[in-house]
Amino acid sequence: MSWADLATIAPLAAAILVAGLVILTDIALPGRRVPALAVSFIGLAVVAGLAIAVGVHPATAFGGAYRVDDLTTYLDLLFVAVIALTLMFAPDYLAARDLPLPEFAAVLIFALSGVMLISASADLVILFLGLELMVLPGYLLAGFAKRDALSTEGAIKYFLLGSFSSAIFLFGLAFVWGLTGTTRIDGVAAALKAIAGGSTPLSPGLAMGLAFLTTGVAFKIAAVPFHYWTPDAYQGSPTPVTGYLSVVPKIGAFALILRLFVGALGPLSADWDIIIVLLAAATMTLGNLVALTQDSVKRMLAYSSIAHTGYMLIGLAAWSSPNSRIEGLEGLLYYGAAYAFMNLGAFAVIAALQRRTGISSQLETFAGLGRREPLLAALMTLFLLSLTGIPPTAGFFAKAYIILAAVQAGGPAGILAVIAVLNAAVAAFYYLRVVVYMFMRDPRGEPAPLVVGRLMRSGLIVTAVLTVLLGLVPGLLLPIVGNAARALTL
Amino acid sequence: MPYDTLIALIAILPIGGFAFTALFGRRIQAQYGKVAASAVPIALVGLAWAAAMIVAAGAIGGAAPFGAHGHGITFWEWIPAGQFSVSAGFFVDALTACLLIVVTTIGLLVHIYSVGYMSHDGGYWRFFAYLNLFMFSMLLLVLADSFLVIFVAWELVGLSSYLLIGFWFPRHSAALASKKAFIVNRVGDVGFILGIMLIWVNLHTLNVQAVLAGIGGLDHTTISWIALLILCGAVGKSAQFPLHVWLPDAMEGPTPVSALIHAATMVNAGVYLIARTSPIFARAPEIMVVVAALGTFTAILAASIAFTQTDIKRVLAYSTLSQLGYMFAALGVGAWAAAIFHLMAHGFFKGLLFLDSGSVIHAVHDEQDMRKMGGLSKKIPITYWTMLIGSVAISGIPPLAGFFSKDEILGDAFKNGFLWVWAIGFLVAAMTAFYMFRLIGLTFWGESRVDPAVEPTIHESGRAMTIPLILLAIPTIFIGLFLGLPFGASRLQGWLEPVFAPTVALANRTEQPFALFGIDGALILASVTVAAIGIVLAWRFFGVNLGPLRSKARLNTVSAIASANGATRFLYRASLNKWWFDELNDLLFIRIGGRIANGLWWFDRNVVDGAVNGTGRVVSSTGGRLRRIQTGRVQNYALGIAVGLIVMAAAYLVIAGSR
Repeated sequence: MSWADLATIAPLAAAILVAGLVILTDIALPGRRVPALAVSFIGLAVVAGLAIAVGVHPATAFGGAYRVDDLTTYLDLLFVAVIALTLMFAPDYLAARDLPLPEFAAVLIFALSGVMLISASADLVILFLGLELMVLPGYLLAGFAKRDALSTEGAIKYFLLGSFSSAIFLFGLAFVWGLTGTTRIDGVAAALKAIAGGSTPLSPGLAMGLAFLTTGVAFKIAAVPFHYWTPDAYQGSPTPVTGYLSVVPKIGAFALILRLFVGALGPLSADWDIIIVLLAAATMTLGNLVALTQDSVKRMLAYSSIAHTGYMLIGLAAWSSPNSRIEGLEGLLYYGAAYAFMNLGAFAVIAALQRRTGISSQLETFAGLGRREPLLAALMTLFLLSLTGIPPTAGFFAKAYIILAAVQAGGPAGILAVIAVLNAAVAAFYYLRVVVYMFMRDPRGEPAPLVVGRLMRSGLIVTAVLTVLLGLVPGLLLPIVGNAARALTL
Repeated sequence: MPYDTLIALIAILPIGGFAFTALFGRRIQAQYGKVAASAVPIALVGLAWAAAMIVAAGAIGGAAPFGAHGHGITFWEWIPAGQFSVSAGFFVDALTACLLIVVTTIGLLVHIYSVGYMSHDGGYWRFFAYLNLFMFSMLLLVLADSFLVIFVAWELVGLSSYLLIGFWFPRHSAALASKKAFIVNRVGDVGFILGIMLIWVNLHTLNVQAVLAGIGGLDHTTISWIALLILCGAVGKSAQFPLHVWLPDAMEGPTPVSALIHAATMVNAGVYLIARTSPIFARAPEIMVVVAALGTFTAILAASIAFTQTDIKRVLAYSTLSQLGYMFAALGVGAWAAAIFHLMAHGFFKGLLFLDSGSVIHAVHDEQDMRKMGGLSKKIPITYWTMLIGSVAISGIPPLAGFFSKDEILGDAFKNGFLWVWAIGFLVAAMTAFYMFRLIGLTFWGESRVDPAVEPTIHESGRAMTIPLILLAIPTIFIGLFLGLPFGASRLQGWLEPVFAPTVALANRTEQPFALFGIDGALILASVTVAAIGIVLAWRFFGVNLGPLRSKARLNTVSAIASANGATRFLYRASLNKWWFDELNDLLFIRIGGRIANGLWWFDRNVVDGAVNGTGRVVSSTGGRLRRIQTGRVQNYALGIAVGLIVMAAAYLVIAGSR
């Protein structure tokens, strides 16, 4: 270890330090919310600053096991933003239920260190370490409402199945390591290139490895048919956690896919691309069709998040065609950011509605919201329109890029483009149904007016502004996304 | 002011009005009353109208910078993404100008009319906000120079239409109708966006002018696919068979909306789109035949349904379908200028007819059933006379608007060798005259069948409503004379010549305005005669009450037909039940499609979870609820993952083996 190594991992180290500081703050000032929040926000700002500072000069550390490039920086900043927004959405909800905020913040920031480790890993072992560091806090958060049976139930399921899939994933890594003799990502890629470049067929061992790895990551991103855990875990969790779970672990797992499938297993893309195409098609279609029939908005969004996984997979499928390497990754990364903000926003609105306890996320809850809470209703409409993919919102461009990349890729990915368009049409129905409820149904009874806290309101407005900006002026983010995509392909 | 600024203002003013009214309308209405709430949106649309008139005059006159072939402006590069780049820009030529005239003029008059029509409605400000949003969307659609922006506007008009059809959303049928319009349009839109993708894949640009210039380089099959997919979108928006079912239901919206969106402007978007992309269609003659066939079929189908409808607005809705069918037929036979001519003429007279129907409905206290009207001609004279003018115009009696435009379509169909289009169009002309005078007869002539409680309170509408009627009657009378004359080289033909001349040459079609003598004279005489026959037949059945000309209605003859046996009765019932299209769609999409979606959900809930729940119940009758659900389910979920893993491994082994 050298000073240079330490400098390179500074953002990651800072994140862990901040999480620790939050715990210390809680010990020093037990039960106080404001100091813990202040430490968290300042800490996150420092992490973001360090990530930018380190990201200026791409570098490797620890003998090549850890690498900072433009992709790392992009993902780090995205995750910091998402974590900060989650921290803005959660306090009101937690306070109403007597749940401790400082612990929540600390666990959330530990999870951040996990995804940061994934996005910077250049070694399969580090990759797995990051993955576990990311998902373990997720289990804790899912069961954060300890006295709520549903929450505990969802958390236990999530934990058991998550561990199971992690084991499968690790087994796959072992196969790859055994057959290539290295755990360094570029080493694996070089070894596989020798195999794929020759005319020798894929060895059965490598095929098994691919199968284990694909299954493992398909579970983590909740791709059909490995999605069973999602609706239960999402519905049981406290709503701000659901928002977090639908965004960070999912995009974190996509970061893992980028490092693993594109970085290490890229030379075998001819073998895995058809599987990805099938997964994407099944995931989009089933997610959307089942979402159609849901009465609970939270559950509907859970299924819709499955569908969005399918859309993002299209980017990966497009990458595997030489026609659209950069475009596919750009699409995926852009979609990640767009999805993060619009989905987080939609869950935040539900969380805001549930500030008073005992309010369900059934469609009925939304009846007449347009009259009762015009601001919340307008924001929810914006997020739902974006999720539908209606211009000029972030969701529209994200979909447009992904689909364009798939069209450019041609072949099986081209068919995905058609499926995606058809799916987007189906999805409009269930998203807009909520809008209809908000503006065209009368509420049953006259619910008391809500108080939307200042932190929550500013968070919602930031999310809304980002959702519109990413749709109206995509030129802001595109160069960054382009650099990130190129960093991976070089 | 330079033209570029004016062109930008045409779109900016209405969206500004929307933003203003949406934000402050409710407060203004509460504090200063309804008229104040509508002042800003109306004033802004008025300014947009003025700007549009100046721009249209410039574009038609060929002033600099428009010249003969139009003028494009680029505002900013909207999507800069590597190869894929879309600019936000406008393009104005004579074709755009024609649409601008129709959209802004009728839009402005409908805004004014709504002051009177909506005066009793609590959602008054909301109505004007939506109307402004619609104006913006429609003008954006007409002005945009990129297929992507056109598509965006295409969706926006769909959205405003949805909002306005469902304006009275507490009424269940209105909510349903708005949903139906939205969903049916979605079907066409999928085709349209696929067409746009196909264009991009092949030409790497979405700029309309660049696409039209480059389309010749593609092979015939690709061009035909592009044309067919664009047609999909056009068929949805312009409500042509088989996507025509949404338009009659859209009449649930307030009547000014029916006049503006569902008669004069939005439903013309499909016609505009095909006219705009005419170089693509000209290179795909097979698709043009499809266009002509769809249009002709819709024309006669809708006219046959209009025969028996009793709701005054529905008759007009089917009439709109039928007239749009004429326009599609014109596009299909290569009579592009004639299609635009009919679009403009129809915009004015159908807008007028709808506003008239609104005035009638207002007079008889929201009654739309013509069986409960009759004898209204004396009581609401301005409405009566303007509606009579509109009906004469749509029936194709010279020298009113419909005569010129319809006969130009029929004449071009005849001369281009589409005799079947001509023959059906000829028949539809007679049918049009019949159902329109049936409407006039049932509503205004003969004995009053109005509810006796309402009878004494019938009165002419206020000035805000009658002035737009009179203002629309004027172009209805004169626009045909103005645009269609002189014979042989009509004015509109002259305007649009630079736009369509290359296409006309390419499609190898002749398109001449009709002359007074020769074959044209004979065709004119024939179609005027059938129209007259249609009118006289309607008189015989439904009575006449026109100055000295009076005869009694013979409504029992009608019921005799309805109760007759055999083919007549079948035709009557088919017409009354709209040829059962709604029932067919219900069966296909609601019953069968709904089953499929429910089935998948059922699969996920029951086969996956249900098996799991069931197993869990058996396994742990001793355990608590938590344990039962968790251990039971989780094991099975894990089993599912394991099975998935095995399938995955098998798939990879197969892939490995096949290499």
